[in-house]
Amino acid sequence: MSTSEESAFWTILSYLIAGLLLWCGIGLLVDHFLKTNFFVLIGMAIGLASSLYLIWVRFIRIDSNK
Amino acid sequence: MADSVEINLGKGAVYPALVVGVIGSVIALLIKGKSGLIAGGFALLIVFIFFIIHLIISKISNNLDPIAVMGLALFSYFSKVLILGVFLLVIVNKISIENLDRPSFGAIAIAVTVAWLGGEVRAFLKLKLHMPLPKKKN
Repeated sequence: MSTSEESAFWTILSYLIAGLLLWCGIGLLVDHFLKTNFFVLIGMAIGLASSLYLIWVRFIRIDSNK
Repeated sequence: MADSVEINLGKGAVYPALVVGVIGSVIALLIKGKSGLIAGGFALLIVFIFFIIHLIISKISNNLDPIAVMGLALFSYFSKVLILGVFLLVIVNKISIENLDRPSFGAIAIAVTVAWLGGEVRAFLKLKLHMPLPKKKN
């Protein structure tokens, strides 16, 4: 892998992990304070959607516009 | 118009996977009863959803740059693993062993996966794809 491909790989991976960690964490906190157990799943869905959005904006939309 | 590569792969994989899934579900029904049949149905559904997502991603990323394809592939693997994890957690915690037989679920899921992949490989080998050859140096 060239340097740009390698950096793209790590960027994509970090978007996925960071999105999930952040939104699942927020979901867990909301669950903890509201004594519920489904906000973590909502957080997971939001985390996945937001990371897909970032990947789309950064790598896919630019590529489609070329 | 000829079908796309993904549709051909899908067609080649669906039939063997369906046959294996139905046979597995019937065997589970005979051995474990209703819980075996439900487990077979769930296993078939999960494996089909996962592989159809894989084919859709492959279709979407047909004309994309390799890095964009890598982004979509990583995203789809991540989401599949997470959704499978959530699904298994829900099964373990919310559905009792009397209603869904775990060993049947696992065995049928593995068998359907193997059948799907085998069918996909067979369909791929049947395709006559035109591979671009490198240009000759004069």
